[in-house]
Amino acid sequence: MKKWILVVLIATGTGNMLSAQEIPGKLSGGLESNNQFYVDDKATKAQAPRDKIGTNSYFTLNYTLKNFYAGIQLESYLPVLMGYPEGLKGTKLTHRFAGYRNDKIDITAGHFYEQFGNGLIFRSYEERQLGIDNIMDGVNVRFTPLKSIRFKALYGLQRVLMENGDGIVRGADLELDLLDLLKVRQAWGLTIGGSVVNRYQKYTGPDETFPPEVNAYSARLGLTHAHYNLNIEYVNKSADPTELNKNILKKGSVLYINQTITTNKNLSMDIAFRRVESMDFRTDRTQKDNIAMVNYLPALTKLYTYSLPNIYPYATQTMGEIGGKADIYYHLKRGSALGGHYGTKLSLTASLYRNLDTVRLKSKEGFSAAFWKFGPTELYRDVNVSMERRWSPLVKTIFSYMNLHYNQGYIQGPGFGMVHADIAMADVLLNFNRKHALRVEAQHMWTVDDEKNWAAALLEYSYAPRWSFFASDMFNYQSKKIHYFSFGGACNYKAARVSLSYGRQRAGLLCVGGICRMVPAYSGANLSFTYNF
Amino acid sequence: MGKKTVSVYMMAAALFCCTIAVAQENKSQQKLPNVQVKDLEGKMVSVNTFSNNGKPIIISFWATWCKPCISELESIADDYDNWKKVSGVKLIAVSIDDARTSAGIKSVVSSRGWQYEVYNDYNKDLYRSLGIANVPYTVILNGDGTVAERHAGYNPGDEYHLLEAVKKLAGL
Repeated sequence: MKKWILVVLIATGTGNMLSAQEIPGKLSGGLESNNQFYVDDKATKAQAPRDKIGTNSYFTLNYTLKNFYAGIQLESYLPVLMGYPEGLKGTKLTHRFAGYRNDKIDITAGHFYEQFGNGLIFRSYEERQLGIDNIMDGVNVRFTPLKSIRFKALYGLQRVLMENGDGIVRGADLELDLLDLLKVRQAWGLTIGGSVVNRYQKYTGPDETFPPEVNAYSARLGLTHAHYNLNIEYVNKSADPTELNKNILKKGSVLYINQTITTNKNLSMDIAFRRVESMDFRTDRTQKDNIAMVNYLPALTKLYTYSLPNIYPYATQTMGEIGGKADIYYHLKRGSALGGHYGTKLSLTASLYRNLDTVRLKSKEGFSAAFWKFGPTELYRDVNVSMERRWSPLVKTIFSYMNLHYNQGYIQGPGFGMVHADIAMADVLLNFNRKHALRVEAQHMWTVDDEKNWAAALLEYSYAPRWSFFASDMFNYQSKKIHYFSFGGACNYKAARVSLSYGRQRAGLLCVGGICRMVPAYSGANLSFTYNF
Repeated sequence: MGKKTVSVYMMAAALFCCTIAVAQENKSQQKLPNVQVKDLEGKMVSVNTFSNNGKPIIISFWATWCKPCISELESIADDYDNWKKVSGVKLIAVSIDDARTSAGIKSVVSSRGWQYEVYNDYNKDLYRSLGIANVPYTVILNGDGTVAERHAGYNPGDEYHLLEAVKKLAGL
């Protein structure tokens, strides 16, 4: 069957090639292939699997003709790379869809991605680096009768690993731009919206009161102005007993409030608050980790791009957390006394998360939690300041400092404790000329907890527009004394990119965009290829 | 590797070759699809309305958490007035930030003083329909809105090549 599909694909591909001049419409797509060759590594105790090669490949093809569109995605895991869900295996046409789109309506049949509001109630999306693809297979309709009225409705099954899952999802969402709708001419914009999502999964157990369906509702409000944005969303979800929550009949909720303030004086800030209670929402109650998720609850903390802060990344506690984040940016203008010839960018970020203040209950609800109260346990806290400045055409620097409290036991599991750390980072970019550039990163972490102090360095040399090479090392020099080194190079040519590297991966939480997965230690070579057209 | 693996690779390679051929033959007619993105006020905008009065447009895909993307947009920002003057080009910065970080787009853009047109491809509809796998990613549209060049990744200095490519398109 699989081969048959491929043969058809190739045949159509060849057909297209032969008649490309005649066929109307546009084709676009891409290929991404990540290959890993594993070796045994005594230092990190990483063991190569029996099959020393792993490959994750994705091929997408999209076709559009006027208002009509269609597409496919072929994935192959031969076998899947270490650290990805083991259920990803084999080669399969995982996406196939066709649709029609004009200014008022967009209908997709087959596979589609969609999101309601901030995604707190429903979001289907793909994150290849984490092995997440919870695309829906069904029908999606987006209807926009007027610019200020947007309606979405969908139903379908969700992709769970290589197959469609058992749980059926139905949902609808309505969003109105009130002031536009009432024809009030204003500098402000006011948007209100709401969604409803229903999931049904058959229950075959003995408990007659067990709820096979979950209903979730959300309401949201948005205020926009040239210098101010406010975004509030509240979600309520019915009880969904699972092994993860120890089969309690506890309703769930999320409250999210975000404000963005910008000024003409180069100062801007974002302030976010979020409270999550019992919001693990899946199409399949037997799944765990990042599999079969209906909603999107990323960790709302600063996304660090340096390696040492990423040793201790925060992961959302879907059973209960309360906290927030503030980002403040200030730009010292070009040519000002403090800003220098090129200007200077300053930023301050802080976030804090605690558990909920809960009381254990004997009833089936399991626990109750005070709504506006911070719990007794600190989960995560960070404060970061950074300064970015170009000094001359040759030199640009970023200096950054961070203080971190990380409840490793709570976030990564029993056996760990609380980690208090300070991290300093220096990042220097030297643009020798229009082609040659060298970037140097140096980082140090001070802590007496877990694996104690770390030092890290990175060298990255690039020869524009095609070549770049890097070498990096991370070293816990007071405890295990393991060098987590890595080196490699990449070549970009137009829309193609090939990269080859060799190194050690540390076991731990790997996070992309605030969603995390645990990865085992492995060592070896990696070859990646991407091409888009 | 087993026989099956090899045959799958071969098929994938064949498929790939075909599509490259299609893509090359097809290039002349590729325009942006009519998907919608959000502007900074949250309003939906169709990307096929992107225009620059017959002059080239650079579409730069970026994200607030992507360091090389910000480096690229920063280095262009240093010289953007000059770029506009010499080639008439307009840069449209399309962020792929999702709900986690999209609230930060406006403050990053405002605090850095970028003069670009900025949109949020919140559901990655445009990103996906162009087959893009990673940011940073740059697409150059010529005056009539067809895709003239694509470039994956960013190395310091790439901006000069970008400007050269734009000048060539503008007939300079």
